[in-house]
Amino acid sequence: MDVKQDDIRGKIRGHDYRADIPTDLPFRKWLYSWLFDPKIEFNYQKEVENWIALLIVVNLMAMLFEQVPQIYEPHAGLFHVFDIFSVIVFTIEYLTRLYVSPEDEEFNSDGKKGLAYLRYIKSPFAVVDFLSVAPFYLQAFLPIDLRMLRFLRLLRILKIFRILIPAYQQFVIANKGRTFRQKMHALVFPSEYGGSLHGLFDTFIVVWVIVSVVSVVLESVSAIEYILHIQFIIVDAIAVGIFTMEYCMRLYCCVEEPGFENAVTGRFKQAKSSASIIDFLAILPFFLEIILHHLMDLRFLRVFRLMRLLKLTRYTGATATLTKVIAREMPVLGASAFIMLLLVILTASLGYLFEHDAQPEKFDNIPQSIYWAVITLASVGYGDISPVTAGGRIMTIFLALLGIGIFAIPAALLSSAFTDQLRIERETLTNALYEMLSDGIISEEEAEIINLEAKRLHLSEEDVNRLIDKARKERELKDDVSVLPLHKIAATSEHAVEHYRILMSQIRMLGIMTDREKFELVAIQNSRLSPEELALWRQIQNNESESSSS
Amino acid sequence: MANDDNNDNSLDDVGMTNTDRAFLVFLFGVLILTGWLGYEAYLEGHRTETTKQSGETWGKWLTTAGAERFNKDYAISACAPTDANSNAPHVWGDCLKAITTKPAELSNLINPFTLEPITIVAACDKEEHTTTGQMIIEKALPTPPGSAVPFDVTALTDSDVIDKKLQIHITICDGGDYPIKIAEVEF
Repeated sequence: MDVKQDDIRGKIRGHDYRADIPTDLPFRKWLYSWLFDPKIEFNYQKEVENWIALLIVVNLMAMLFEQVPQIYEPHAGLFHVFDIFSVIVFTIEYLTRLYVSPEDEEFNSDGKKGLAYLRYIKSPFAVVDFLSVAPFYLQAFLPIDLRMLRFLRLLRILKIFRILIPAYQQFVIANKGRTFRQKMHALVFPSEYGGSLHGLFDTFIVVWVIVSVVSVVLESVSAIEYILHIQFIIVDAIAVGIFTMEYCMRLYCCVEEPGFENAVTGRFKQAKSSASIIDFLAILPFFLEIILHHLMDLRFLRVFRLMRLLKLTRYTGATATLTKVIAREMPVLGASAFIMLLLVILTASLGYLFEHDAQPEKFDNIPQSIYWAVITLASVGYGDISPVTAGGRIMTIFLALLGIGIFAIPAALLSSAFTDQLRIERETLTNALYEMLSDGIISEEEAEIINLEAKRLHLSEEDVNRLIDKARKERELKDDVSVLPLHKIAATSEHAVEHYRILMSQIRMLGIMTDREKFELVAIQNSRLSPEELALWRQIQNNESESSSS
Repeated sequence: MANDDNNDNSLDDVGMTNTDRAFLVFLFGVLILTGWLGYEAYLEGHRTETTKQSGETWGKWLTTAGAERFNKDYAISACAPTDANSNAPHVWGDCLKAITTKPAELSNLINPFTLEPITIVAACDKEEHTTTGQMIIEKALPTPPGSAVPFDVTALTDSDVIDKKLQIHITICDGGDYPIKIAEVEF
């Protein structure tokens, strides 16, 4: 088995892998390779773009908050400092991009450095970058109206196109010849056609989920709600608009998903899925409250907007792991819950029995005692209801001690089940590696799968390499038939033939290495070999001699 | 490269089907509906903001009046403390009438939900929705030492005597008849 170790290592990376860019490159080339070259994988290009995008979003939010005098006026200094910080970052970015532009093939196709600078300055992205900072410097020389300045600062949002346009172009190329619905599916659902644009779509939804949930939480703070009432309404309406469109798009193009192909039943199946139900519940309160507010007071539904947080479960494997763990441990958890229920009912009844006469107002009935039993068993102990009789207190001692153990069981179960699940997932990855190594080559697709799994399981490059080594050793061991037990060899005809060949070869080797005459003498004298066995020995050795002489 | 070009030519974009177009129209309709409902919510929010501003105007006026009404020759005599010449003590009902009757400053405040002048109510009525955009004016009286709450807040009634300084709480009823506290002032 010729497993090309370096080839495999070159393709598979842990989540902490970084590109191997030579340090002896000219500084400008080195800087471009690390920060801006989109063709080099695992450099800092994506991180730079993400941080710039984040700064743009924060700038946008700052611009929105500047419109609220109650927020802006007391913190005008902070807003100004942030503005200066943003301009400094954007200026550094602009100048750095300008400096490294001769290294970019797009601007330096003919090798003329001066022209490369000029081409970069004239490029649409550079113009946008320039416009996003120019008003700040311009105001130092020219008196610009504050509102005009704020409007000009909105141009910073255009910088987001530096990320959007390449993603869109990649998306268009990947989806050439596909239908409109297939393209929508590639945008909304994870697929091989989605590319960066699908990632941006997901990020957009995640950002709006976070914005929406934060605004719902802040709405409950009356001092903030008093100031930002209108802004919260606007944010909610925009969030609902976005989530409604997302919901409709998912429902429309879900038929492109395997298993959802039928136009009616496929969509119904999609609508019934837990993720879709969460999506629906995330938008429902808005419509119900506005449409039905004349008939009934539905303001309580607003709190259900927090369910939008559950939309994030689509983007993390944690919920899937939790569901698997709970499903796997359900019988034990059920048994534990049953014991807890028994204990609660029993102790509540005993509490009622001991304390009712002494404290009829607190232990009025068994349901009221259940509250006391649960609070005591769970080691919370508010102290609003406590036993006063000797019998009640003795029982409480046992109850509290039991509670520590009983209530700890589900937590311990879940904790060990989580560890188990992680081990299972790592073993699954090892098995996958084992299968992938069967041909000695790891293809690009296989490497991509492993890289994605490594990212999902938060495995470092070292961890992945360790798993590869483990899988490789297992694979080598499998190939060495001699170390397998005989019944395992016998189970596979190929292995049985191989084993037979090895045995024959060993017999021949034995004949060459030993003194044949003495061998036969010992075999005959002590009847160590039967006549058939001796005849076979002679035949093998004679055949060997004939083939050697010929 | 040539192969790529060939591939590009063979993979011409597939146009939209009628179903796709119908979906886009539906999506546009949904967007319009959401926008319209959002605008309705915005309008209601704006009305609540207008009511809050009215409450703040009341708060400012009562604060200013609270500082001036104990001066001699205070312009609105009904809101001044009872003087020696008066037969009866000055009460809130008379003061309220004086400050909300035209051309008084506070008489111009309109309830944006009903487009009628704002009236003072005892409490927001979430059941019947009869108090949307109206205002509650309450007095806060200190409770005896050792009480669970420092103040006892009750509606300021027409018969309440206003000879002494009063701690006043101003609340408005929003679009859903939920109370929103506006200010606590000394009158």
